[in-house]
Formats: sequence, C-alpha cells, structure tokens
Amino acid sequence: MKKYIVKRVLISLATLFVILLVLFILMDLMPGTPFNDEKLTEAQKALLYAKYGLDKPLVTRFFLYCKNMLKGDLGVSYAINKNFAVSGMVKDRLGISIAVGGMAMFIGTVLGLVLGILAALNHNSWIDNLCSAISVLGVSIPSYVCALLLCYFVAYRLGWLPILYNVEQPFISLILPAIALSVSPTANIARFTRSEMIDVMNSDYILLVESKGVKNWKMIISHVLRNTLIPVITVMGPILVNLLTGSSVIEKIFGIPGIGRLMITAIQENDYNVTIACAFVYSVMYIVVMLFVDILYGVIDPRIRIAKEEK
Amino acid sequence: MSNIDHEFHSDDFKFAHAADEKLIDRNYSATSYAKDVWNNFKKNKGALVGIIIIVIITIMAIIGPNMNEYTYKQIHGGQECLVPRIPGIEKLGIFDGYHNGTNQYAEKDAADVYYWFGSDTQGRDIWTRVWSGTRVSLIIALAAVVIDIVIGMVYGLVSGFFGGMIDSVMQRFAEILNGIPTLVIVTLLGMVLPAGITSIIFALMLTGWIGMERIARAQVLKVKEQEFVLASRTLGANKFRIIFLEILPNILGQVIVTSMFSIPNAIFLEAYLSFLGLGVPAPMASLGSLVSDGYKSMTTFPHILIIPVLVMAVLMLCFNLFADGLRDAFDPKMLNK
Amino acid sequence: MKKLLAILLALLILVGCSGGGNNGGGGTEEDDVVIFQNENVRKAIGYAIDRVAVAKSLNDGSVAAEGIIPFKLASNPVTGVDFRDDQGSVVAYDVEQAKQYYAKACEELGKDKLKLNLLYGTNEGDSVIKAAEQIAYFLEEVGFEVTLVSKQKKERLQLMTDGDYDVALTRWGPDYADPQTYMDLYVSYNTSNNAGRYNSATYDKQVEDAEATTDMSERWQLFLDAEKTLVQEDFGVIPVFQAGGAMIIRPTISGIEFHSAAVDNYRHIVGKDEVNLITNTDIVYLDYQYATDGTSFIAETLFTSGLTELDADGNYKLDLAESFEMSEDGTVYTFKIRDDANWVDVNGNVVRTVTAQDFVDGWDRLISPELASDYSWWITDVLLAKSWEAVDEKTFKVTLEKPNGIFLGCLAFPSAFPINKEFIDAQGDQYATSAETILSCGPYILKSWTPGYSYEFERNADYYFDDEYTAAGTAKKIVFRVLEDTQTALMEYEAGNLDTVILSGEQVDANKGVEGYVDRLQGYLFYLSININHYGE
Repeated sequence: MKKYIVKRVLISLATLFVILLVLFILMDLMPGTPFNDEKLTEAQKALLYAKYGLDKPLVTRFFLYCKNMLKGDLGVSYAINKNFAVSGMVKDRLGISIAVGGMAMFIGTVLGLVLGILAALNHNSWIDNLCSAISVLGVSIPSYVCALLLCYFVAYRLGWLPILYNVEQPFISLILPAIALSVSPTANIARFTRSEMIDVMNSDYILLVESKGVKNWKMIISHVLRNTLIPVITVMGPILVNLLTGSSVIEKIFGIPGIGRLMITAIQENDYNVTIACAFVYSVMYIVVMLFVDILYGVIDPRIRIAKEEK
Repeated sequence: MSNIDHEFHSDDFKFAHAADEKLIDRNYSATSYAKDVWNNFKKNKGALVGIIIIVIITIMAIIGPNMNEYTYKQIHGGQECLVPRIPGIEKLGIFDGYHNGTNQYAEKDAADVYYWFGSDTQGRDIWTRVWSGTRVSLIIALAAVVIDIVIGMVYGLVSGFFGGMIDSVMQRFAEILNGIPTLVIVTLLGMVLPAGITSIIFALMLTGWIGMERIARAQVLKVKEQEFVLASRTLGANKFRIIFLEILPNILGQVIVTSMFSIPNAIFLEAYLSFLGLGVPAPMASLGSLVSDGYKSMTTFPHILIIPVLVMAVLMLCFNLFADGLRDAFDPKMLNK
Repeated sequence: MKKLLAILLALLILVGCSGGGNNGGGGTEEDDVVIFQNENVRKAIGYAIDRVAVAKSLNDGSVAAEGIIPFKLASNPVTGVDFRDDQGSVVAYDVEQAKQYYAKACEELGKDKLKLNLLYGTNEGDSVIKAAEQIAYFLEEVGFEVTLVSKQKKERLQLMTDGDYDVALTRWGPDYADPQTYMDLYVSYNTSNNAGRYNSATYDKQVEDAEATTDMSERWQLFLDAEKTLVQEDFGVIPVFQAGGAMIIRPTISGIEFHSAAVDNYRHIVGKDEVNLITNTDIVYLDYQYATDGTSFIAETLFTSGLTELDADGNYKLDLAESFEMSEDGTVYTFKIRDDANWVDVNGNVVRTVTAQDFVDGWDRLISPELASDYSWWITDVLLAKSWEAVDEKTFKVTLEKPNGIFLGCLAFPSAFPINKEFIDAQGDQYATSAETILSCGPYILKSWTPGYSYEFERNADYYFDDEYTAAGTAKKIVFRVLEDTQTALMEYEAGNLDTVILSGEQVDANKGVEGYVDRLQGYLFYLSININHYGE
C-alpha cells in the first residue's frame, strides 16, 4: 500500500507539471493581450510586453515561471490589480472561497446523503418520489436563481441574515451563499446515493446478510452504506473541487471577493499570470482530491486494494 | 425417532390434480432483449408520463414558434416587459396582462395585442423565444449527452476493464484534461471555433465526457470481478464480448441516469458559452440564455425568468422519470423478475 | 485492444475536425468586392438605425446620439452654446431611404443580399449586448443579413486593431472637454484609433486646420464642419447612442458631482459623516499616472490633488495652487503652490511639503517611455505644454506651445498630479499596491483597500479645506463597496446599508419615482465603426 501511494504521488506531480505546461501554451494561444485598450498605442503595448518579459520565447518564460514558482513567486498581475503579486491575490481570495465551498459541501453532503438514503429505504413510495423531485429541481434551477430567491426572502424580506457578504461577520454572511451553492451538490449526491443504495440492497450479498439474520439497522450501516459510499465518493471528489474553487455567479451576487470571480475576470482581461495561478490552484486541488479519493477507495473497498497490490 | 405405528391405506393419498386435468407444456415465444426492455418500460407509469411530456415539449419546440405572428427576433418598440396575456383565459382573471393592478397592455397602447407568455425587455415575444430556445437547447443537450455517453462510456469501460498500464495512462490523460478548469478550455475554444451549434456541442463534449468516464469506470471495477464475468471468461469469451455484452448491459442503467443529469449542466454551460461568444449567436435564444437573461429582471418582471425555468424543470423531471424507467428496463436483474 | 484504441482515437479526431473544420470567422477573401467602400452601403446602415428606439430599450438614461460628439462635452468658446446645439443632428433615421440606399448598393455591387458581421463585446455591460441586438434587428429590417459576433472586450479590441471585422459596436470616452478628443480619432494617419481606416483628405485638413489655428471661433467652426464631413457626408462612423447611468442617491446626502467629460468628483459629499457608496468595478491601479479607468481615477482624485480641481459645473478652481499668473500671450503660466500642501502617509503623518519639483517629477515620469502610460500624451497633446520647471520650492512654471483654453481645467486630471519621487523610488515594485504604499496630498487618505471587496477613505486632517466645504462639513469617512450584481445591491440600498446604488435598465421603471433617483449622462459615445477595407461576406 505504501509503495502504491508513493507511486501515485509521484505520478500526480508529473501530471501537475504537464498541466502547467498546457496552461502556459493555452495562455499563449489566447487572442488579444492583457494590454489591449482603446487608448494604448501599439508602441506602448510593445514597451509593456518588454517590461514584463512577455517578448521572450514561451519555453524561457515557462522555465522562469517554474523556477519562480518554487520560490513562491507567481508573478504580477497585468490587468486586474496592476503590479500586485499574484500569490497574494490568490491567497486572499482562495481562503474565502474555501470557506464558502466547505460550508456548501458540508450542507450538500449531509442533506444529499439523508435524502438519498431516505429515498432508497422507502423505494417506490411517496418519500422516494419527493426526494427524487427535489433532486431534479435542484439541478434544473440554476444556483444564481436560488441565490437571489434566498437573498430576497430570507435576507431582504425577513431580515434573518445579511444580504451581502460582510467582512465583519464572515460566518453569518456566508450562510446564504453556502446554501445557494449547496443546492446542486445536494441533488447530485442524493440521486447518486439513492441509486447506488438500491443497487446494493438488491445485490446477492446483502440478501445473504439479511438471511443470516443480521439486524436491519446494523446491516444498513455496516454493509449497505459502506458499499454505497464507494461510488458516491467518486462523484463527491470533483464536486468538492468545484465548490472550493469558487463560483463566480454566487460571488458576484453576494459581493464575495473569491477566487471564482477572480479567474473569470482574469480570463476576460487576459491577465495571464492570474489566470494561470487560478487555474493551477484548481488543478492542484483536483489532482490532490482525486489522489485522495483513489487512496480512500482502497481503504474502503478491499477488492480494489487487493487488485492494486497484485499489480 | 419413535417407531412408526401408522398403517398406510390405499386411500391415504390422492392425486393432486384432477384426473382429467391435462398437463400442457406451455411454449413461450422467444422475446428479444429489446422487447423485454420495452415490456418492462411500459409497466412503469412514471416513465410513460415522462416520455409523453417529453414528446409534447418536443412537438411544441417544433411548432410552438410558428403558432403566432411573432418571430423570435422581432423587436416591438414600446411593448417591453409585458406580462402574459392569453385570449379567452384572460377572462378568468389570470394571464390577463395585469401587473401590480394595472393593465399593462392598455397602458402601453397595445389593447388588442396578446403575448401568451408576455414580452421581454426588448419587446420580443417570450412564447416564440421559449419554444425556439427549447428547440436549440434540446438539440445541444441531447447531442452533447449522446456523445458524452459514447465517448465516456467506451473510455471508462476500456480503462476500467483492462486496468494496469492502460488504465493508468488513460486515467492520467483524463486527469490532465479535467485538471484544467473547463472555463479555461472553453474560453479558448470560443476564440478558435466559430459561433454555432456544432461548436457548442464540440465544446461541451470535450469536457463533458470525463464525468461519464469516471462513473463508467467505477461501475466496471465493481462489476468486473463478479461471477458472471468470471463465468463468461472461463467459457472462453473474448474481451470484446465481455466488455460489450456482459459488462455494458449491467452498467448502462447507471450511465443513462447519470447522463440525464448532465443535460441541465450542458444547457447552463451553453448559456455561459454565449457569454463568452461561443454560444448560439444572439438574437437566437436557448433555454440557458433565456434563464440568464431573465435573471436580470427577476425582482422586477419575474415572468421573464419563471417561464424558461419552468420549461427546463418540467423537461428535466420528465427526462429523469424516463431515465429511471429506462434503467429499470435495461437492468438484466429486473428483466427476470 | 489496440484496434479499439485506434477506433477511439479516430472518432475523437473525426469529431474534432467536424467541430473545428469551418473555421475563420471573418470575411471571405474570394470575393474581391470591398462592400464597405461603397457609400450607399454605409448610408443604408446609417439611415436604418432607429437610435431613439435603441436608447429607449436600454432604459438606463442613455440617449440617442445626434453626432459623434456627445451632448454636454464642450461649448462654443464665444457663445457658450453646447456643441450639439450648435450643430444640430447630423444623423437621421429613415427606413425608406435606407431601403433605397440598400437597393442601390446591391445593384452597384451586383449582389442580391448584403451580409455583414456585427462585432460587439459581451463583457462591456448589458447595454452593449442589448444595443447590438437592436442594431442587428434594424439592419435586418432594411435587408442586410446580420451575424452578431460576440467577443470579450480584449479580443474585440485585438480584432479591431488587426482590422479583422466588418462593423463593430465600439465606444469612446472623452479625455477632456473638447471636440478634439473625438476628432483626432478618425484622421487617416491615426493608426491606433481609426480601426476602420476612414480616409478623407477633406476631414484630415479640417481637423489639422482646427488644431493649428489660434482663433477659437474658427477652430470651433472647423470642428463643426469636420463632424459633418465624417458623419453626415461620408458615413465614416455611425453614431448610435450616448451612455447614461441611472442611480439612486440617498436624499440625505449630496455633493456627488458628475462630469460627462472629466472624472466624477466625490470630494464634496455632505450630509452624513460616514457614507457608503457603491462601485461596480474595483480600483485597477492606484498609480494615478498609470491608471486608465474611471473607478481608479475617482479614488485617485480623493487622495491626491492637482493644481486645480473642477467644481460642480465643470469649471476649474484652484486646488494645490494658491494663485497663478498667465503671460499676456497666454503661453506661460506660473503657479504658486500652497504653503500648507503636504504629503501625508496612511496614518495621516506629514511626510513633507508638496513642492514645485514634485510636479516636474510627475510630468517627467508621465511622459517617460519606461512607464508606458496610456496618458503619456496628456502633457504635450492636451495641455500643450512645451516645457515645465520648478522656479523655486513653491513656484511651478509651464510654457505652452500656444494659448490653450482648456489648460486649467485639464490640470484637474490625475495624470497631471504631482508625485513624491523619493517615496516612489523607495517603494520600488511595491509602489501603489496598497494603502500603505502610497502618499496622499488630497482631501482624503486611503485607509484600506481589500481588492474585490471595498476601499475606505478618511478625511485628511492636514488638507486645507475651502471655506465652502468645511462649513458644510464634508463626509469624514467614505467607503466604496465593490458590487456587481444590481439586484442584491438595490436590496442592500433599501436595507439602508448603502447610500448610492446603480440601477440596470430592468430596474429603472420600478424605481423612477423613488426619491433620489438620478438619470445622469455619461460621456461615452457608442458608435459603429465600419471597416472600410474589409471584404464583406
């Protein structure tokens, strides 16, 4: 197992390197420059290119970037907050996105599992139908519509929570955005849990457990849930990454200075360093979470562990 | 055991069946797999309702835009943001063009004009736009989903089944593609590809299949060690047969249900793409672009938002019912029940 | 196995090709007819657009353009009449005429139908998207086949620079209150701004003559004529609308001064000790010699000052200059800088006094090529300054090429503000990246800045305050909150947490009657740039 983990970590690092290279090439392909502006002349653009070293060949820039990155220097912003150190910008905004995303993930996981398990246990009853309807609505109504509805009724009409994000009451003012963000994950997790659990409960080994006379609740916890969770974890990984790296629309609605909004602005403004940094943060999270899921997979499911150790 | 002190008599036993009852060997006509699926599917009432509504919405998407005199891009200056008004039904006090207690139509000098679903902020007929938008979204979502399923499923099947080096390489490739945020990829595509439905489908496909692939692979890992696969292998079936005839039917249900949930994702991503310049070119509408446009009027003229959201939600609900039915119908375990 | 992979790969490539196959958004070059060189095509476009309807559908205070020069930009130096009133409208909406020109153009070009791509930006505000859809509709009514091409702003600008477009919806915000800020754009040798390559010897001459003459009323007349040549005769650009801005300002506060051709002035807000204002974009750069956007400029005019500032009517009044003398021929200005003008740091501690040398350093830095400022031409091309020097510690002398009526007003623009050179040198790359890395010499001090969230100003106790404003008691604290979503912002305003709110076109009708509703006119003029040399499809 240890050897397997080390190998996976090394492979993940190599993957990240390739992703960084791809990102660099993609940036180079973007049409326009960070300095496109109605009022800037071509000569000035060329000057700025030289000033920021963008006139050097791609390979040189890439290795320079890698070298600086190891020192924690991600370059400076060209367009969003000119001359700001990108590492600082990303750090400030990532924290808050992780806070909202983490809360949303928590709500989504708890609600999703509860809904999914309830539906599966009451398969083909009205509870099942209700849970299904909720999860279908959850994915077909966009999060920004939910967000505005919450803002309007809970915050504006009832005044229970602040309308917008407020730096002085971070927790209270992040509850609404987290709920709005959790709608779609809740739906996805609920649906997936339900169908997996129904599958598992119909499987032969559960029938065997049942026939052995193991008590119902014990059977559900130790046999059904355990086997249900394996595929559910695979879908939770990417959902988590998406939540933690921020949602630009939710951040826009609630006035949250998060990383999702930063990345969209960076892409629009052709702010290369900021785009690469935001995208790379996403990549790192994604790869780490996938690695974690893979390893966890082995812990939960003995079959996979064995299959892997054989190799 | 005690001694049996019981004596048997000739009339102690009698025939279970009447003597004249004939035992007939019943011959069942061989039913095809497809027919089995269909028979199973028919039994599921929810799925039937689902498919009927999908058909109705599809028909509306085809004929709806031509049902009145408006076109999706016709702008009527001075008739902006009118609420729904339907002849006949207006007498019942709903859909009568009243907003906050005043008849908007009379106010805007349009007393004999009817917008069945109201008009948007540019004075365009929402009825026409919603149905033509539904048409566009249906095409995009279905095409994207079908391609997703095909690519994602095959990729996942191959990767999961063969395992080892092949799996590693394929998974690393998927990881790299997925490790780059979708937005970065589609933004770039938006700049390379011309605006249009083909490009949108391509962009959605490029990023959409990975989720499907992951689920297919996870399912394969679960299924491939099961006895029936082993049995098939022992009987000398080749790999192709095992993958597509043994494993595939077992995971198809899950894959189809998952794909249904990627429909709204495709529809919303399409709306974002139009923002980036890759989506359906304005003034053409799609459900996604109608929703994101309607959002801006949510607190002032909610009907502009609610109608496309409703169409989308109903469509999704039906797709889901349909997919559930389909999954049960496809499930070989269910087939024998 | 290998076969399977090969099939998979082939499939991927196949789909990839079918998606990317029909590449190339611009025009086809097979056709050698350059349709936009045909005057009737441009006339058809010009007459086709119902500008009043476009402005009305935007519903945010925008008004139909009557020419390329916006309303309230500049007034006649002799009579004081606004340029637009002097000129009247040089555009017209006439569908019948547009159809006739269209038919004529089709005939001349030997085509049944004229197709054009209309380029616009998707992240330049909702009004641009709406306007593009409206324009496309009106053009189609006349017979054109229009394809809307939506791009991000940076890409739109790149396409325009490369000349890879047919017709583009673009805009220009005036830099100063003079027609020249627009007229300079379309001379044939302005390769940076004249993206459509409009080329008219008559127009070039009119603009050159106007800029050469010292006779103010002759200059004015030449600009009037030049606009007629550009818009009415040649249809070189098609003006569409002038941007508006609907807002609600809490009735208890007043003193926000909007200028359509200069930076809005937030220095004189009264009515409340602490005001919370909305901004829909964040500060881009605190370095006022490098900034280009309105939001940054508004912030910069709060914490720094120039020799002059603008009052509510847009007239100059002295700021850091205590007095000035103008030579008889109007080419030499000598400013006496206030003795009590000081540089202060973020905590309000005085660093040192503001000297004439600070202005010299500032102007030198602005024009230096290393800085590559967007406004590097401000000193020489707008102020028309030939040389500048520090006579003594508090005396600053500027020599102009020729008399300049807008000189004093244009000194109020942040590009012309002084700098503290030793501070900038000491800060190096860190300069102007936070509240701590700048110095103030204006009425407010930037206390903090959380990018993407808010920035706060506190009144600068060291700043001299005009009697007019101290008496009224300007706000002690000004907080700007960065909010992009207009709907939640309005809720926040109604909840009392904001004192101003910007309304989208959708929200205007419902809020028109609200106390404090303001319909301001911005300087931005949106027009269609026609790429004269582009091959139409």
